[in-house]
Amino acid sequence: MKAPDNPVLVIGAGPAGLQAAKDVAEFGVPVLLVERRKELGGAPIRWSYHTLAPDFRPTEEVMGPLIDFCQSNKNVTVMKGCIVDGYSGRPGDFHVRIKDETTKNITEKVVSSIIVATGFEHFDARVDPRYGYGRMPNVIGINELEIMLKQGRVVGHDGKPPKRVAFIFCVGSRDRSTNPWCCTVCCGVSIKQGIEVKQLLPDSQVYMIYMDIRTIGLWEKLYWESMEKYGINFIRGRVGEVYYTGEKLLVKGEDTLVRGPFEVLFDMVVLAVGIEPGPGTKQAAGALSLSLNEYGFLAPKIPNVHFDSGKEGIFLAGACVAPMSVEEALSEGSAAAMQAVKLGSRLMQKVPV
Amino acid sequence: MDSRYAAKLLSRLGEDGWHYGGLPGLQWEAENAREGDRKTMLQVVEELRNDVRFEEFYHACINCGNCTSMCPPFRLVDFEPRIVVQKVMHSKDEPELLYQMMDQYIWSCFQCYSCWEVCPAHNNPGGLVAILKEIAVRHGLQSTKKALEPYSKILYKIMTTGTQITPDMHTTIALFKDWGPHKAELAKDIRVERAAVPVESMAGVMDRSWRVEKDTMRELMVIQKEAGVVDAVSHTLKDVADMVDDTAKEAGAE
Amino acid sequence: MSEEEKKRKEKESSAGEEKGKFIIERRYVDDSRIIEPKKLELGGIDMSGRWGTLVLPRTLEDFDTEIYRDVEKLPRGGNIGKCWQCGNCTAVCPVAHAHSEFNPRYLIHIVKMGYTSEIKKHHEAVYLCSGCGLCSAACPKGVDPQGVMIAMSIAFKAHESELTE
Repeated sequence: MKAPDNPVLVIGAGPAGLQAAKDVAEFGVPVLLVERRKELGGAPIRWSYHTLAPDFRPTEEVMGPLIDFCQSNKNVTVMKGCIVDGYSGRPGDFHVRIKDETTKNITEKVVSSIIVATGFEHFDARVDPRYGYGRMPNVIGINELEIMLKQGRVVGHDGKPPKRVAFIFCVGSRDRSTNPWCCTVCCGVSIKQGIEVKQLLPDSQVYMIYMDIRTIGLWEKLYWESMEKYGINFIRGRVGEVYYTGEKLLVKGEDTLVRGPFEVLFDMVVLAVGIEPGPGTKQAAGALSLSLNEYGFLAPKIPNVHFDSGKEGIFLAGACVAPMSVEEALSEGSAAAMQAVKLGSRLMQKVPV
Repeated sequence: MDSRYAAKLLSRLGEDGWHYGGLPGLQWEAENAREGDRKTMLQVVEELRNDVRFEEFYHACINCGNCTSMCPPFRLVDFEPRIVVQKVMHSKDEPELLYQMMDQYIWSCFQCYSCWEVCPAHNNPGGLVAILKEIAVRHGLQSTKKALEPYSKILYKIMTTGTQITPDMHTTIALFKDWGPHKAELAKDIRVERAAVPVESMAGVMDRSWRVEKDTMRELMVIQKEAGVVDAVSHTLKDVADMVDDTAKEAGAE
Repeated sequence: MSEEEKKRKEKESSAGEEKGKFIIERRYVDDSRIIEPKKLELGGIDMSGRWGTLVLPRTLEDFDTEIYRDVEKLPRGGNIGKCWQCGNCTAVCPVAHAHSEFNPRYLIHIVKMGYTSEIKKHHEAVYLCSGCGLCSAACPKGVDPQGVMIAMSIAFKAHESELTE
C-alpha cells in the first residue's frame, strides 16, 4: 500500500493537534499543521502551566517531545499565525484556504482529510462580577496562579506571600448565568495547585470552597493526598460575594454541611475558572461548516464518539468537543489521527493513482 | 442486630418509610415533619406546583448554598433559601417538610431576591417563598395571622385608598403594634409638631391620601374582589376585611 | 453534669424563653444571639423593649483551629484530617439513631473547620459516644471516628473554660 500524497490538515497545535500530527507523520503521511498563534503547544504552553495533574509532571516533559517532533520531522509542515478560512471538495481532495493573520495572504492547499483540534479558552472571570476579578487585588484565576507557581513565587499584590488562600471552585461552570457545563478538570487542577502552594508556603492555610469534588478516575489521589498529607481544608458551599476590605478579601459563603454562614478574611482568592469554547473553535466551525452544540462546542455526530464530525473526512479531537484534561486530549488526538490515516488508505485502494 | 433494637428503629420511620434525623440543633425540623394534617399538606403542595410562576421560579437545586450566602435574614435568623428550595424539591414525596416550613419559616424572608440573582440554576427561592406566603394567607394559617397582624393598618389603607402610609397613621391611639410600645410618648404632641411644618412640604399627604374619589374606590374594590384579595384577607385578618367592607359601603362603592 | 451546672442551664433556658418576645420568628433565633438590655435610654427616652432588641449576626468570622490542632496531637485523633464528610459514621452509629444531637460527622466537621460557636453549642454531645467502634469499621478513609471522639472529649475538657463561657 502506498501512502496518499495529499497531506492531512491538522488545525490547532495543542496537545490533541500535536499528538494527531505526530501520529499521522509517523505513518509516513505528510501533515499540514496550522496554528493561529505564534508558538506551538496550545493551552499548556500559552498559559505556562507549571505541572500537569495528577502526577505533578512538568508541562515541558509532556509537551516538549511533541513540539520538538512536529518542528523537526520532515513529514510535518507547520504554519504558524495562520487560520483555515474555508474549504471545498471531497474527502481525499479537500481544497482549503489558509489565511496568514498578519499578512492576510491566502494560500490554497489540497489535503486528504482535516483534523480539528482548536482547543478551549479559560473562562473570563470578569464576566461574573460577584468574585471581583479584575477589580480587586489578589483575586486571581487558576491560570495566573499556575504562572506564579512556575516562577516559584506565590505572592499577593504587595509582594508578600499569602497566609490564607481560598480556592473557589466552579467559577464560570455549572451556572446558568455563565456556563452551565462542568469543566471537569478544575477540581483536580485547583487541588494540585493547593498542594503546590502548601509545598511552597508550608505555613499557609489553604481552603477549597467546592460544590462537588470531581477528581474523576485516578485524579482522586490528589484529593486524598491534599487532605491527608497537606492538611488542605474543604468547605462545601459556593461563594456569593467577595469584598475587598482595603487589606484583605472578605469571602462570603455558606457551609452547607453545617448550615452556617461564614464571612472570612483571606489574603488571596483563586478562582477555578472553567473551560469554554474559544473564538478559534467558532471560526473553524464557520470555515468548515461544522455544527456547534448548544454550548458552543463542536458537536460530534454521536455525542459518545468524539472524533466523528458527521462529515466524511473531517475529524474532531480535544477540548473543542468537550472540556477535557491533557491526557484525554492526547488520546483524542491519537484517535483522530487513526481515523485520518484509515480514511487515507481506504481512498488509496478505491482510487488508484 | 438485636431484634428489639431493629423494631425500635423501624417504628421511627414515617409513613413514607424515611426517618429524618436532622442536624444537631435543628431537631425542630424533624419534629415538625411528623405533625400536621396530610390532606392540607397535599393541597398546599398542589397549589404551589400549579402556580403559574412555579415553572419559572423552580428548576432543581444543586445544593451549592450560593443563595444562602447572599441572604440578609440568614445572617441573623436560622432561615435559609437553600432549605426552601430543597424542601420544594422534595415536596412531592414529602409534603410534611414543605407544610411545616410554610407555617412559620417563610415569614423570615422579605423578598429581596438576592438569592434569585446569584442562583447558578436560576431558581428563585424568594419567589417560591412569595408563592408560599400567598398560599398561607389563603389557608389562613395561625402563624400567618400572627405575622400579618402588625400590618393590619397598612393593609386597610392600601385596600381602601390604594396608597400605603401617611404621617397621621402614627397616632396615640394607633392599632399599629409594629411601631413599638413607645409610640404614645413620641406622638404626644404630634398634632402641634405637624402644625409647625410648612404646609407645602407636607404636600397635602395628610388629607389627600385619605380622601379617595368614589370612582377610584369602586375600581379598587372591583379589582381586589376579582383578584381574590378580599377573600384572602378575610381568611386571615377578618377585622381588616370587615373594615374594608364597611368603608366601601360608606363610600357607596359596592 | 454537676448540680450547679444544671441549675445554671435551667436558669439560662428560662431566661431564654422571655428573651426576644417581640421577634415574630422567635424560633429561628438562638437565645445567645439576642441582646436585650433591661433598661436602655437614648436621649432621655426609654428605648428598652422592642426597640432595644438586637439580634447578633450568626456569621462566622474566622476559622479557629486551636482545638483541631489539639485533637490531631492526641493518640487516636491523628486521623481527623482525613475526614471527607461522607457521613458513613453517623449512618452506622447506634447512638446517633437514638439521639440526633450526637452526630459524629458533624462534630468532626465543626472541629476540623474551627466553628467555635457551633462547638460551644454541641460539644457536650461528644460524651454520648458509646465507643462501640462501628464507625471506625465503616469509615472509608480510616479516620477512626471512635478514636477521634475520645480525642475530642479530651480536647474539649482541656478547653472547657472557653467552651462554656
